[in-house]
Amino acid sequence: MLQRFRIWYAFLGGAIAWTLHFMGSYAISEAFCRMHPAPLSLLGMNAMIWCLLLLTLVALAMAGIALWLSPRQHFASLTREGHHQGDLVHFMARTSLLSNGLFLLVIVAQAFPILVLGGNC
Amino acid sequence: MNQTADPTHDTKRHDEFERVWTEPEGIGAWFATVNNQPFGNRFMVSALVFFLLAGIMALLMRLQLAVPDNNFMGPETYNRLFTMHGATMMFLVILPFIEGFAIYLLPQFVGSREMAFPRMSAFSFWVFLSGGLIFFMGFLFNAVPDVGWFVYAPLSLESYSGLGVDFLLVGLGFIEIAGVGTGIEIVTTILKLRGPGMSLGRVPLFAWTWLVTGVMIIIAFATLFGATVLIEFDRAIGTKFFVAEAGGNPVLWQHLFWFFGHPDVYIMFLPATGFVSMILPTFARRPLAGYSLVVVAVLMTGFLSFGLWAHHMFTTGMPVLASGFFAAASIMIGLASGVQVFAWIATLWRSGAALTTPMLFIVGFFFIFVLGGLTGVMVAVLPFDLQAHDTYFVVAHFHYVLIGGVIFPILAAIHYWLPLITGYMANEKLGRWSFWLIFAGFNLTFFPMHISGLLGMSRRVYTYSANLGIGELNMLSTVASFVLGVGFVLVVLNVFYFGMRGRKAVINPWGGKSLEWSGTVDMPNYVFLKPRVICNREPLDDADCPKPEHLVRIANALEGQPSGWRATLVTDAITGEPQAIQRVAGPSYIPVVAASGIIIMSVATLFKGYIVAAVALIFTLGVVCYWLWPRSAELEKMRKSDISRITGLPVEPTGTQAVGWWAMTGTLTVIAVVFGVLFFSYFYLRVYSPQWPQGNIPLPGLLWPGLGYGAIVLSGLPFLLAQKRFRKRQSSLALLIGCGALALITSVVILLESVQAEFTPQLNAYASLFHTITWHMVTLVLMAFALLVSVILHLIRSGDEAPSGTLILHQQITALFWYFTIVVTALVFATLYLSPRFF
Repeated sequence: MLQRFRIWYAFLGGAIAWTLHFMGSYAISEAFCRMHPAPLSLLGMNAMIWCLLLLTLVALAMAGIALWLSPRQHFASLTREGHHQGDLVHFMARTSLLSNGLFLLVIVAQAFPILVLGGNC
Repeated sequence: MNQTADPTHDTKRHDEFERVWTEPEGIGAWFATVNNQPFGNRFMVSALVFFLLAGIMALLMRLQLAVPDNNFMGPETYNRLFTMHGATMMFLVILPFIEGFAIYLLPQFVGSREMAFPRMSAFSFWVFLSGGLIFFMGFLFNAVPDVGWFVYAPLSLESYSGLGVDFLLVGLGFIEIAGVGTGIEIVTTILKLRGPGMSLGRVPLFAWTWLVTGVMIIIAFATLFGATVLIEFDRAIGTKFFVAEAGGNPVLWQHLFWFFGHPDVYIMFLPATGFVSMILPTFARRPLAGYSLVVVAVLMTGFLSFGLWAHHMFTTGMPVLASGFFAAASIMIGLASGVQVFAWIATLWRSGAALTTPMLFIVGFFFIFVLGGLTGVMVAVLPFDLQAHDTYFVVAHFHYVLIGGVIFPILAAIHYWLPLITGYMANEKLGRWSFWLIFAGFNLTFFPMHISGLLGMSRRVYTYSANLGIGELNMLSTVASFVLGVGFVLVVLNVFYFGMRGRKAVINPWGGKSLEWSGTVDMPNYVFLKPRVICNREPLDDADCPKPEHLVRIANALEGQPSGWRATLVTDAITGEPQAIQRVAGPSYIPVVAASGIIIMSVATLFKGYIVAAVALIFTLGVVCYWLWPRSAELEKMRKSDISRITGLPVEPTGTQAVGWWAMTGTLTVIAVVFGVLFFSYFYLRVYSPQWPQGNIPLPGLLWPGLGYGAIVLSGLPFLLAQKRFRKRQSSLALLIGCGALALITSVVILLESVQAEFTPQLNAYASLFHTITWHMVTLVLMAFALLVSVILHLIRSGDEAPSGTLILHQQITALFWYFTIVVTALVFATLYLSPRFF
């Protein structure tokens, strides 16, 4: 069960991290901008920016873990289950690496508006 | 004609299979059949009829816009036409057509004998067709919707629009149900009914795109379903979700609608890319370049498409930072599309592919889609969108994407797979004529709209002033639109004349290497006697790849087996290893009867015949219960057959091996999304309200609701114990009955919270949310209770016997539903009762 979860996480972890990051970023910016038009300050910086940066770090960590799980040794159990499928391990490892890497890139791109626009509502 | 490619074809076995799998004959049987091929055809033909109607409406609009200040039709008629054209194309044409394609061809692509839930295909079709007819019923009552296919509030609320919007919304509800049903079926088929050895790395891209699309359909259509319920509540019972003066927000509708609407574009586009990825390698005579990259691009497109919805709303005054997130996601999705385009170009590079009709349409697709994609990146840029929004530039952009990106690949697919569907080849000369007419007609119709849009021509307006200087551009668009229309008529002629009685097709006429071409020109209903062992991505070119012995043994055992009931192989979702033998449903009137119940209920509600609607609801629930109840005779037949002994695989799979488990997971996803819509609406309106709860409504109390909601949360423990006892073959009846009692306590307390509240749902948006979420919660708990009762009855009926696989599965999916209900209950309590105290 845990092994299966790890396989699915390695395959889709980056995508899930991006989903959480995107939805969370939208919710935080909408909530802060509407409920606190005058920015709340925390340790000298806009509280909304703190929240968004923290969320970005969490998302990057999640996608990073998925990327770390992507190399083929993490899919070795599939060979045992399938008796015959070296090409499956290769496919899973390659697609996971590509997918998690690209989603990591998308999360970074998604964080640019935070850095460029700052707390601008 | 039934020539099979299977060299071990055996007439006796074939006859036995025919007896079990053949569709019944006669008019009555037309309603009873559930096989994938007739329903694939029915979806496609219905979509084509709706396409012709939408096309006629488009041509009438173009006539009106041919010259400035034209009086060919008035604004009211024009509004009705653009609404019906948009809604018909988006809901009744493109998606149903490609769904029909999938239902028809998927089993052949993945090596299954049928779709996972044939009765669901039938049910979805009847519901879809009824939805389409209700859409058009407005013409009979002079109540045609005129608010746009996006049904924006407040224009679509009762104060500003009439019965026409109800026809549109009820029709939409039907199409959403059909869409979700088909989505669950397609996803389950691809994950669980693949041929032996077809691991994820060997799945054809047609199926990969449909796997992602299926999940997207489930999420997007469930969202629209939740949103439709809210707006219909506003119209029918006076709730205030979208009424600004009562604390609601019309922009909330735009969020909900576009959370469906933007992925919907990719729901249509992704299967079209699947067509391209299957057709190109055949003509290029080489495998697709970058298979893994294309899979990743498809996955990325599926995920990112849900992060673009608000780029339709840049002009609504969203926070700049939030707009920045959507702009970034909108630009990043270009990366995923770009990967696919480069993979296709690399496949074609110096391949010397013959420019037959399917290839011509694909080359046309490249040209048009790339242009549409580039203008898509332009409108994703906030400052540009603020200028181009609601102009003809956007009309040009989305027609380039939807016609170029979706219709062109569909036309390629029709010409390519026609021999497999009808057994005849399309006429090549006519095909070329139709391509050039469509290609030229399309570009001359829509390219000028980029310019007229930039010059200031507003969309959704029935005329324009001569002073704008865009008369010539519009005349060109109008003349060209008729050329486009002639091109489509030629395609119809080609398919229905030459595709039915032209040149007979030989087996695999294009030399394709994917699995669907391994079948017959005139496919039998069971598709094949013996499943093909898959050992690479090109199953028809597998002479050099070794086939694992254990898979060959199972495939041999399944040749012509079982002969007494419809069965197909279940395989592992990742590895494609055989896991079980699944019984597939046979002919039945249940789907059409269940669909009829829903239709009567909805139409009665439309005309405010609530008693008839209530009777129809009870009738439908009864039919659904009958549908799902296991049949002893059929189960006995399965248990007595020796297929399990021969293959070593169970015939009553349980857990994740059973397709029923996946169907329940899909259903729970739908319910989760509907509750997600409610939670989003709650917090969105809360964020926009200076006071919460709105008006003078006090904070909700905690004691009684805490006990009521807590009762079902507490039931998790006895349910867990009951499961443990069940696994040990000890009696779990008392514990389950206790769980049922706790569920009843919860539903009564929650219901009383709504009944005894001092405010009605019509008071303000908070009140509407409180009552609506409570009603949804009660419904969910009662559904869990009904499932529990069915398990208890099943347990009593089975007595002291060892639990069958069917009973174990029944208990497992009930547990899934029960725990899901507990989680939702906790979230609802936190939202309604705790969050107002802290947020």
